[in-house]
Amino acid sequence: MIESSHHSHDAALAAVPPTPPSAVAAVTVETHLLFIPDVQRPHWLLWGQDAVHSPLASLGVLTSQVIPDQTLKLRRVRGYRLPLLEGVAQLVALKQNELTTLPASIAVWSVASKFALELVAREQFVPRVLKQSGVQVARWSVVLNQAHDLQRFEQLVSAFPVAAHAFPYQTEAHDVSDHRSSQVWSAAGLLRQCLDAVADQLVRAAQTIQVQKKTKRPSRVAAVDSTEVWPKRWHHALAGHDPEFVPGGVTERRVLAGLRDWVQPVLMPVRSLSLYLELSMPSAPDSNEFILAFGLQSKQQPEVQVSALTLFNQSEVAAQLINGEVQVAQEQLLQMLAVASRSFIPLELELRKSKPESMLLKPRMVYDFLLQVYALEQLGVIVRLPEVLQTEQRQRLQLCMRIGEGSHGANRQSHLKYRWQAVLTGQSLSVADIDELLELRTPLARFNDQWVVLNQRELLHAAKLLAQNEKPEICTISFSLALSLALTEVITQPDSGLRIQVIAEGELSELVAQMRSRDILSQLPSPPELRAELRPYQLRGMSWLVQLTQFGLGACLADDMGLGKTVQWLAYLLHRRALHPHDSRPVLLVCPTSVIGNWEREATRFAPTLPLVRHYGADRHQNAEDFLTQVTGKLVVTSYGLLRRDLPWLKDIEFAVVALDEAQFIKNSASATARAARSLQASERIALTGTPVENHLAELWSIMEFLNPGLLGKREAFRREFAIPIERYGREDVALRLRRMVAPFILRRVKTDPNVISDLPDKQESKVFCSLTREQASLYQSVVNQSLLDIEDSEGFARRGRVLALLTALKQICNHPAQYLKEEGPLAGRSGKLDRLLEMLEQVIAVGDRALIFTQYREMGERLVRVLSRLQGATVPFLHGGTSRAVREEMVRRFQEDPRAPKLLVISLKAGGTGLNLTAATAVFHFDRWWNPAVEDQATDRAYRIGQQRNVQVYKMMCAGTIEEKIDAMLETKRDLAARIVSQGEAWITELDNQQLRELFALAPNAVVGDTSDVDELAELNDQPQDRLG
Amino acid sequence: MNKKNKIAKPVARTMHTWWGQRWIEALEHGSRDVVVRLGKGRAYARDGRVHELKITSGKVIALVDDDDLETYKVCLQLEVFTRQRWQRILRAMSQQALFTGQLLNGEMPRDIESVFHPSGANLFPTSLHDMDVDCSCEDWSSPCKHVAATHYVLAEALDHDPFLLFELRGLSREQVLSGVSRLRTGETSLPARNTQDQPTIQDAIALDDLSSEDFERVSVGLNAISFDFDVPTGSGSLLHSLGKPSAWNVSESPQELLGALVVQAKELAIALAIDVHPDARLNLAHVRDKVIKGKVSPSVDETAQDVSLHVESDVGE
Repeated sequence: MIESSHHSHDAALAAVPPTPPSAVAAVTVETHLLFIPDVQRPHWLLWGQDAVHSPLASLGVLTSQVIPDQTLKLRRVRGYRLPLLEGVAQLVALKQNELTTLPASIAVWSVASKFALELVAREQFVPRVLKQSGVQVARWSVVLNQAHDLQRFEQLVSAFPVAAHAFPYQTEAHDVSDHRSSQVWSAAGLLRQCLDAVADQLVRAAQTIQVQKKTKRPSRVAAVDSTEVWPKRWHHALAGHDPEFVPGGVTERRVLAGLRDWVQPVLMPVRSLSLYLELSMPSAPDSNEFILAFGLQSKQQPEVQVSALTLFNQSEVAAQLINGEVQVAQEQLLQMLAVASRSFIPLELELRKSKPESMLLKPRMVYDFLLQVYALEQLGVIVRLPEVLQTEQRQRLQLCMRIGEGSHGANRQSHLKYRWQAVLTGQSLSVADIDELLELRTPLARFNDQWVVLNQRELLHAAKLLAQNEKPEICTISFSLALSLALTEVITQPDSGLRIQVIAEGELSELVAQMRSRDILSQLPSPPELRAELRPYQLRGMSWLVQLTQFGLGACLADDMGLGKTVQWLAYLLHRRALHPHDSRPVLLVCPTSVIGNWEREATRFAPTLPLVRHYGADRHQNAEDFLTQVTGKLVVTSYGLLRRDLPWLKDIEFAVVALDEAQFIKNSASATARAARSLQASERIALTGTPVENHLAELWSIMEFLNPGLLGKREAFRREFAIPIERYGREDVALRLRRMVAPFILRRVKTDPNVISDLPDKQESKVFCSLTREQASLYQSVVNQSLLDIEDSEGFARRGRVLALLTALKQICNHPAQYLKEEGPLAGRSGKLDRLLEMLEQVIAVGDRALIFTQYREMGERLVRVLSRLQGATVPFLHGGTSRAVREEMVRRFQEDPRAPKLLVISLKAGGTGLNLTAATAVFHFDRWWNPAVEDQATDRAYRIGQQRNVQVYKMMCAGTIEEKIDAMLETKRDLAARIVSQGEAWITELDNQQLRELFALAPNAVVGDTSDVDELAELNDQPQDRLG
Repeated sequence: MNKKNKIAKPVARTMHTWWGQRWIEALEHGSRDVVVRLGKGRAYARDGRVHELKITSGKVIALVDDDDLETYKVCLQLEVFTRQRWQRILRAMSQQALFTGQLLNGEMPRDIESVFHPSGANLFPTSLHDMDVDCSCEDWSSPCKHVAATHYVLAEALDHDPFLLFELRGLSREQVLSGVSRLRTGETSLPARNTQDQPTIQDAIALDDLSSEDFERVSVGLNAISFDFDVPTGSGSLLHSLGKPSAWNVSESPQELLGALVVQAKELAIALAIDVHPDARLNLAHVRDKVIKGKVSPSVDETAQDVSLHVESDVGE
């Protein structure tokens, strides 16, 4: 019988044509990006055998170019030619944390593009006159003269892979046969070219857009007559499409020389010394005079510096310090001071002396100086400020909102008092104090023996707020608003844009401190009705959910997949029922269709006393009245699809709790699903998700907006102020601020968390019950109906063959209709099991884990590869019986070691002594069942081996209500059967009598059949992974 | 040629620096009857007929091509100050560091004459009578068109390098600077050492020096580089800080002329970076379409292969 089952598999394999070579060769991902410094049209070249899969390719046209290939031999390669700025727009959209997984050359050019945009945004660019291809042209160049920029430039250069800069230095010289003597661009040289080109093109593109805005159609910047005066022609050469700038006569040739010298001070790092200006506090405590000293400082070695005092009076010492010519240094100092005096005019006074050494500044001048810091830094001047005047440290008016004074014994129904406070240098100000400060009419004043920066607008606004304190009756807010404001800490007044510090007082402040420290206020006991023993971290999770929701706050439980969010939530629900025995409002759980069955099983298993209603299928309630008669005090489970469909009346129902499972389904806040979720009414809101929400900020906003509306501000503002700076531009400071804001509302434990890991077994197995799609269900039903008749009519060997064939057919249908029908049609949305796999793998990829997916069918494996490659954005390798040893080893090596390799590996090998070591995987999926625990364990042990440091999650996927679930249940209950399977495989089924077969094969009434898509079309449209390159 | 046209044009006052203008005023002072010759001189200057201009200690020599195909030699000579007088002038200059600072930036200090007057000297000639003028042409009138042409060209040279005015009085740029420096610090000579120039960016590298193992080298630390787009809403502040180039002869400042270009580019950069305007990309598509035509056909872009790729170099290098 074992023979026979083997045989049928082999036959199935033979029916499939051999895998085309490309599918195997695609093990290595190869895409390269090169900046082409073509003086007329600088552009990008995208090439490599996988370039066609890169989203960048859609921007380009096919081209070819002679460049060094991977072996550094000059070769004509084919690739895509991408326009410069369009490429930049795509490259800057890449997230910083994706860089390590992208092809190295795309990663460095992405960072370079961001750098170029930042330099232009800071106006760090100047016009120059150059000779290009023998013609005088006017071009824009970036200015790299600040220490921070030079440092980033160096950092970026050192990260350049050869693929990103090896472009032949002079194309005329190239000769394919002679590559020995050839020169290519250096990383620094090509990066500089690129930064300049982006600045230049941005100026010109901005003009084209300006013209388009005015004329409503694309058009050129108006042409300029060649007889026009030179400033007009120069302007045109700097703004239009033609940069040529031909000087007319001697006068203009002189102009050219003048223009060149003009930008030299900022453009080329010809000088190794920069001017520094150092402001110090008044020397005496009662003095009003700040000291501005200056001197020169080395750009490379900041410790090399010489003050003007030394430079003019101790030339021997100065020569030692700067290791250079003193007169030259003195002249540099004077020249740069003269330049700086254009921005900060008082410097001219000091320059009226023979030896400018330092000067004294009155407070008003100090304030003017502070205003000029940015302009001075643009010139390459190093500005040093005393600590108390540095932007972050400056003492200025702080507006505070103090909430909860005397809030003793407040609960979530209470209203809390608040009052405004204006604080300066730690002292609370009265309205009279503010009036006095306004009287001073100075931007920098001494207050309480400290220097403070004053802003008239802020002072006036503070006076207005303080006046409100006179009417305490209007100064109250609800408890939950108070709590969420206090947890946010800093709010921005919508009308004034001023930042206000929120300070909690009394019991509220204790509560805030506890929540912030993530201490559970009190660890609650496990509810007695729960039929599961909660691990310590799960008990903490439950207590956290109970307490956060009690304060009227929405909570997001974002534990890693496999840590038991379901059981924690069920425990919370049981706890809540005990707490509010008279609350008869229903509880709504929204989840993807694919897990409805799973939820029902888990609920009945862990919380059998919890009455559960399935709001699903055609026979569900169709209006609020019918619905309410059935659901009082019950847990209602529905899908995202039906939430959208039944929203017109669901939104009128008052729920006790609304929970979203797999809350990443509302990651697109503009989608109908997200809007539907937000319009539900509930006292308590909970989101469950396994994706690290804190790393996906659009998703974070959407989920938080569902949980705690308004907490993170408007979507667009959030995107601008938080999401983009953090994700694209690596702003760790902004990330910290956001993390602090949202931390109280999100509980996320990871498998590697030491508090969790000690609780976990090394290998965790769980069964994943999936639903069938309508197509699967009807196919299943008709195959069963037909085959059972045939089986009942036959006997002996023929009967056994038919039973096994039916078993195989049903397993194939459970996998995917396309597998059973042997067709190449579309795959998404047709199999509940596949959809569920995709949902789960998305989370695996999101947390950076790696997974193995086992199937016993090669034809299913190939289909999985097709779908998973799309999910991964790169070809997912497929290891099967036909894979050669060399390719197999390369697949294993890449999976184990290469950070840029796909995170998934599909395997259709029957377990055997092939010695595969795949310990990089932390998740193992059995897409279909062998039924043989020994075989399954052997497969699982590819990942779980000695030496594996991490926990491994094993998921056995099966369709609820089908043969898959039934056999699984029989194995669970009948030990002897399990033993027989180990020795005989599936042959035992053939020995069942007709009645038993009928029961085994019939589709159970509890099988969930999908009928509405969970993902709405709008969401699909917006969720195109545009930013995944390579 | 088209000389008629040029003569017919009124003698337009081209914009000069204030010190270049002062130099021209000396030529034009009391020369009202010679408008035509001045105009011709200006035209010669504009046409580049003045060449081999040499300025050495108080003396200017130049060659001027005439319409008659002859080349005439012009020589201007100014009073060279004595060592003692220069010493007094340099001492006065060393009293205010701003003089040196501005001169080094190619700018003649507005109040430069205040250092010359106490010693009874004039930096600028007040008229042609303050200098010896000589031309190899037959024209007896003074100034002749060749002298006038030389004078205009000289004014432009002065615009570009104000130190030349000192050269005309006998002291070179280096002599002025070191003299002022000595007087300022009271030392006879300042210590010198080999200046270490910082390495400039090396543009090219030999292919043989690269390793194919680094072709797709995985780079670390790239994601630690951060960027900040919270920038002040400026308007060409760098252009403003740079001031005017020497020989800038337009009434608008560079900031006024180019400030709008800078600000609009800045706005586009921020829009692309933050992606606030969804239409920013849309508009770029137009830009792209203009640059690359025939995008629709997915065939090999033949023109791309023979695009010339020249290395750019700075003017004058």
